[in-house]
Amino acid sequence: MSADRTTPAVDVAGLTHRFGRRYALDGCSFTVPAGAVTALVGRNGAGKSTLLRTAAGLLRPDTGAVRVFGEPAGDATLPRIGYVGQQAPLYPMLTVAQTLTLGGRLNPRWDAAYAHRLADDAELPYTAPVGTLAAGHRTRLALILALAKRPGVLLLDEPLAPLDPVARAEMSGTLMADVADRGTTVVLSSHVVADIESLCDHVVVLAEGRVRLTAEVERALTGHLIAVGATEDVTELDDIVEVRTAGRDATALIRSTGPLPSAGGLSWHRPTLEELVLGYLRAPRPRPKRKVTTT
Amino acid sequence: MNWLALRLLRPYLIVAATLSAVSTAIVLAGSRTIREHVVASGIVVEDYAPDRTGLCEELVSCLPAGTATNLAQVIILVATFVPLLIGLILGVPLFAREREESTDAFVLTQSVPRLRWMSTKLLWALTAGAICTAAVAVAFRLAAARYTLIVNDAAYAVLRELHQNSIGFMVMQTVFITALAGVVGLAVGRTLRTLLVTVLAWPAALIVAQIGGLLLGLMVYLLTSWSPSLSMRFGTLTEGETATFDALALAVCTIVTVLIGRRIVAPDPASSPLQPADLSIEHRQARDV
Repeated sequence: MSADRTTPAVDVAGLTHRFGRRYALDGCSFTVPAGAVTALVGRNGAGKSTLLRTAAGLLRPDTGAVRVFGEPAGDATLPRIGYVGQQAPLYPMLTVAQTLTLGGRLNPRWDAAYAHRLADDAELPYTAPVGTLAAGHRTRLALILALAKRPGVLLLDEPLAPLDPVARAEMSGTLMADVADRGTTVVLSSHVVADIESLCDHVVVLAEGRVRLTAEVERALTGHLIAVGATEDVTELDDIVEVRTAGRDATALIRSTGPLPSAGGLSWHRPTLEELVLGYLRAPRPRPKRKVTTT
Repeated sequence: MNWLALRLLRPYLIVAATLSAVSTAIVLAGSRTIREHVVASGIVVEDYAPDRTGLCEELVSCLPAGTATNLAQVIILVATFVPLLIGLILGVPLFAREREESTDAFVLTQSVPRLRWMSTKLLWALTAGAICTAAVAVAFRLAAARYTLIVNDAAYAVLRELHQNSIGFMVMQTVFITALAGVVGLAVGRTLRTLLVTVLAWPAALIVAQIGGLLLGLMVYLLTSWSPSLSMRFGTLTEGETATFDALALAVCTIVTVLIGRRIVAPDPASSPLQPADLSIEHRQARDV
């Protein structure tokens, strides 16, 4: 599955998809390295679901392509993809046990023992119809189906949204265990940064169908600074991603690979992931990259 | 995939099978009652006689008035509308419901090719539809057609064009309607819209079938006209032959419909910028991209 680590698990190239006149995705390009846990972050309507559906082969893009382990997304890549959509659509009339059996019938690499272990851990009622399950249980069942398929890449569309805090922690633990044991690549979308902060090592920020930022989380955090101070001082800085003013003060997210500056009457600190993501989401449009001086 | 297809079809199969069984029973029991009335009235209707030779005058029903005529009319209605109903019951929810409930996103991301998903479901629905309608059609043709033929109300004469007293035509009607509703459901993705479109398309499909059948008949007539012996057997444009050609035209329409469905499910990336497979989820996607 993850033998060839040089081939990206997911390679999105110039992806554009429209619904009528509206662009859901507009020339998106980025790669997800094999074995990475990548958060796809954006506001509602940013294009996260469309991108994941395209990667899962459910939608065909107008232009561009998605490659999964080097192959165009489609029938050929299905055995290597585990997809969990929003609201985890499953057949409501089937019981949990029947749904797990169905997973075995539809997937040649199905790991039945693993599926049952995960279902036991989640305390899923085997005889209950899926339609009667709570949203959180249904999501966990959908994730079990995706995991027991033994995919190379998991595409999860807001998987944590319907879960309670305990279930979130358990599901995150299950995901991380699979990543650690099998090197599974994970791409999960969310519009709540706190949900994915502890999980991901890469981040892709989508806004209005465009990629605003794609980077390894650590590099992205060390490559940016937050400056707080008087508005006139802050707005004079170079390479500003986003600036917010409150009265006479302003806070700016800027690109910088240098050390924390100590002068200039401004207060500086490294952004948290949430500050970084919010900065890019609030930025009106991508700015050309320029060298910045922080001294 | 077979297990899933049959499991999803199960409620509709039960309804279609029940409708078929009830309709067959109505046809058989009705025919028996009509025969009793006919015999009691001293009318001789021995064999099915499409040309009505020696039976009774055109546009005058020679069945005894009352129960026999009423039953014959009910049987005609059964023969006319049951093939359509069975096709709608099996075809409308086949893909439309999956798309409506988004469960297609689950099944299409398992390790099953899209075409296999479509063809397995369609094959079971078409087979079940054909069997259900065949039971009604065989009962109608063998037991009831000889009586319904002599119900000579103008409206029922029009309805006769819709079943043509032909097993093949009735079965092909169900097969075509099932395929059409399935493919419309694939493209539209909404059950109610699929139902409406299919019902509206039904008369048009029958007209196309009749025109197609007529063209086939003329073609056979022309092809066999050089040989007296062949032209005695083929291209005669009798009722039976016309119905067979109409059924063949419906078979061609079914094949075309299935091919359109294949393009919807797995469009050729080189040839079509339009992606009908996306249409059903268009407004849902537009809402929660």
